[in-house]
Amino acid sequence: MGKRFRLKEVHIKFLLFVVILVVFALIQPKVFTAINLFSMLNDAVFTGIVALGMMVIMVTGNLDLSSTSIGMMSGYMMLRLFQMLGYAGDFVTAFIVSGIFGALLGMLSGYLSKKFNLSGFVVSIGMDLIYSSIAFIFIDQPTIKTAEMPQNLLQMRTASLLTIKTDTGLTAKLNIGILLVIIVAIILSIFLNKTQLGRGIYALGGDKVAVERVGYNPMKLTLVAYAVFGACCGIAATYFYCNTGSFETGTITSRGTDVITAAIFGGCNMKDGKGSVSGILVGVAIITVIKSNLILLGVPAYYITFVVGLLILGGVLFSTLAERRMQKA
Amino acid sequence: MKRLKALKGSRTFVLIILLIALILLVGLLNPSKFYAMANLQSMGRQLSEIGIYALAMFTVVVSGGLNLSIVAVANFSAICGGCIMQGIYLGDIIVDPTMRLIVGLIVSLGTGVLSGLLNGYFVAGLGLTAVLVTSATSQLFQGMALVLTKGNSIVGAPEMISALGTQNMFGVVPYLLVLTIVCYAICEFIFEKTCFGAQCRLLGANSTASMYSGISNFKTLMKSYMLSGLFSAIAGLVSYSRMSALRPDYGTSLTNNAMLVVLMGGAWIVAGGGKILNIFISLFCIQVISSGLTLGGTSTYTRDTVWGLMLVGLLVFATPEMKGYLKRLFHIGGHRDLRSAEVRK
Amino acid sequence: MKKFIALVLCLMFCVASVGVAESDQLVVATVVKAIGSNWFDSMDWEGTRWAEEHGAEMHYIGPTEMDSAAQLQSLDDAIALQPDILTVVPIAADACDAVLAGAREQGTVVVSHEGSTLTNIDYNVDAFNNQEFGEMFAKKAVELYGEDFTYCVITSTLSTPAHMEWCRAFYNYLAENYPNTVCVNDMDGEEVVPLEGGTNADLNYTATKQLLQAHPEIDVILGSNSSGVPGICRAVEELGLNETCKVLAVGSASGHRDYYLSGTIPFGAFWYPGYAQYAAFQVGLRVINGEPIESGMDLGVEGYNNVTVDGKNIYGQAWLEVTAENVDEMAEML
Repeated sequence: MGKRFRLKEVHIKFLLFVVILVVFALIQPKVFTAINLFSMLNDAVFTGIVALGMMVIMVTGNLDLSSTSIGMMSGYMMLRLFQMLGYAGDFVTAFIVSGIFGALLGMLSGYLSKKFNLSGFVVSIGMDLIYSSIAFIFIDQPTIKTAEMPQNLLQMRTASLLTIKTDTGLTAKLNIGILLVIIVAIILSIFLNKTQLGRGIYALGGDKVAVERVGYNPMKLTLVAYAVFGACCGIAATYFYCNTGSFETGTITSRGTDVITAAIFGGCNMKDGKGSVSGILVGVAIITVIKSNLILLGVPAYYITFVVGLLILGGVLFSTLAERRMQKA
Repeated sequence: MKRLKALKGSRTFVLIILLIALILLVGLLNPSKFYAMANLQSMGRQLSEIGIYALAMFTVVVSGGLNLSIVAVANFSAICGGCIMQGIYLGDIIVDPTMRLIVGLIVSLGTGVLSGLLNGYFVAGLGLTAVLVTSATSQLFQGMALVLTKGNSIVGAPEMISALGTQNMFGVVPYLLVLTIVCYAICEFIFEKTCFGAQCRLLGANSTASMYSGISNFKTLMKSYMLSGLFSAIAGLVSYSRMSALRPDYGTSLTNNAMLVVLMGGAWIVAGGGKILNIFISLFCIQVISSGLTLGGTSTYTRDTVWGLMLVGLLVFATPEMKGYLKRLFHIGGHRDLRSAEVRK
Repeated sequence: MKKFIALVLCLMFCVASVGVAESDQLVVATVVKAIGSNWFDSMDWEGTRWAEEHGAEMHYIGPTEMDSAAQLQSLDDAIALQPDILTVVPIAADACDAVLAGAREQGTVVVSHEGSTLTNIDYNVDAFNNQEFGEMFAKKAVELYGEDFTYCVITSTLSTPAHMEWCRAFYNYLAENYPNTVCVNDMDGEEVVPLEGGTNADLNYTATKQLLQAHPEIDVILGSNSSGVPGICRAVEELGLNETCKVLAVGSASGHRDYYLSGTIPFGAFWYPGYAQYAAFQVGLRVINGEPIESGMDLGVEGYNNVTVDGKNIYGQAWLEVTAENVDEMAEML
């Protein structure tokens, strides 16, 4: 009965997504073209990967605001490492290496929070400051120019999954990033639902004491959850920097709020340890559709921020009230 | 003297020692410039901005929530009020400058409170998640500010306002610092002495228990968001007074700074906890580090790292596990702790 | 008890200080928009070079992210250093103005860069006149594309003064002299409203994708934000429009190198902020020494050997033009 209940909430949010998309398409038909749909999928990659990682933490009852700093640090370390080794890089190795760095950083946060029984949120505020700055105190030139980047990684900008030439003469290109999101989503879904460790992480959010009594090691669960989160941040950051074509401190920070909004919107309830991959994906979809279409819709430049706030608030209102209605029914 | 003994081992004690240590250490980096009046006054003005934002954040955190919209509300309400003060809005109806100032102030503070009403309605009335709601309203208010100003800034402030931001009382203490102290004193009164304060803390500690105690969670939460909005508006006026200009997109980093100060002061560690005095001292600690390190010639990265290490350090060392370990190490404590807990009230 | 502590803290703040130790060394400081990018770090390198040549103590200060409140904190701290010369690259000019008044009161010489709207400064040093820069791009666009093309101007944010000035100059020049050109931007009365691309490449990519879907007929884009241009170009190339739509770029050659080579950027320009920093300190020194500030001065660094002085504004001829031929050479610099 619990599982069916969760699916229905996700359905409501999916309905919201569809409604928004349809309304936008009615205003501006170009919203529903292959180009725009591919664009939205491309835009959703960073938010999607990090939000999925965030879900694993939220399911244990924690929130973490340091996703962009972990990403910055692990991306930087991977790029410098490849640069020092003179390695032109390849996608898989890059993701693995930055994922490992990210996992280590995440585990540090998780260890501190679990060992000293602190709220993950509070620890993350401090770690956010540390991760985003400690390396750069000692480094004279933190910027990595395009020419200094591992050259093969720059191909991520053009690597495409699907290329369609439309009648308008414009090309619609679906970047490989979305494949990454799908892979991460599948892996996490299997991990959380089918493995002992994964189910233990779910349980940790519900009742910490019970988890111990059943025989899990809460510290191990926390470390694994945070490692997954950190790895996701690292992978997403690698994608971000390779697409940008260079590294500069601070450019990644603006992405942080979208991730949290998408993750919480997606139905992660920190108090009860609920959360599902499908919920996160729908949350990411809603945020992306709101943020990536307003210029196409012709919203005047001055009004864009206002409309985004209005739509998100409206969306949250709608989905919460609809879910309540559904619960009563 | 007994009170002093009771203080020992408490967070306040630790923070005071920390502050003194920081002042001495950081002062070593550049003593002639650090202890100079110009720097002390500069620090006093800077910490006022962060300090009032910290109060705006605290009033919500203590009752168990979070307010990410403090900066956006501050900017928007300052713009509304400032435009009236400058005569841009209602310039023909209200002509007397003093009237403009007063009406502008009322509008500004009123806008802050109304924004709190909006936030409070969604969080308290409809039960939506505070993070989501305040993140959305943050964009909403910033958006409204952008629409009003079209991305431009509005330059110019009434003399009283700019004097507040740049002048010093008796030529020594910055007026902004005085304002901050007054605001903190008011909050101290609210959260230590009034019913409302106690209700907030209880709500933050355990919302179910507070409901069963007969407290209206809705009303308490609503009031705390409105109070937060009020302080946001005051913070907006503080920024206005410093810059003599109004900007729609000013200060996104200040939310994080405010959160840092509030957390260092002990809020969130214990649900419903956090003493105003501790937040006040943390504020000074944060500012001393920031200004002192810059004077010492280090980069902003160093400052961020020190802030982060300090927060994490305070968190870790305040936990019972760590305290127990330290006590065993230094042979402190024992039975006296129980008694001092009583005396501290 | 608590009142006692509060009182002590306040007294500490009210204690009059030891007098400022007079040192024979000049103290100079610069406050930039954000540290950590080569663009502004170059001001650190050249500023330090100047300081070494003149026996001065140099401080390079700036926030870690481009936020006006954070920069104001940095500015306050820089002023507390009581420097002899203070240079500032303001994110939000009006925010800095009030604070700079305090700097000048204490005797600091204030020289700004990219701060032509500031009032509480001694001088403003710019690599070039923003109006001329924008017009230069407009003339180049006409040279490359004739007299009737469709274009769009993109800035980073609507509150970045320099970018807005270039965009407006570009538009005004074309609107006046080549009325057959079509601008797809919003208009606010007589003023053009540039498209807000955002502060990083990702945001610009998203914005440009939408722009080009709405207006695939665009021939020219003026990308005035250095970090955003790679995003703009990526969007153009991804849509397959790189034959018909070209980007005129402002910003670092090394960051945009790939797009010069692929042909999406036929022409761009930038300036080396480090030289502007050197020039600014030189101006500050002249003010301290009471030397005249007049057109024709040589500030000792490339591009500022024969400057123009217009009121408080000092312009060099320091813009560097970049094409696919010299992009590698320029990329070495920045």
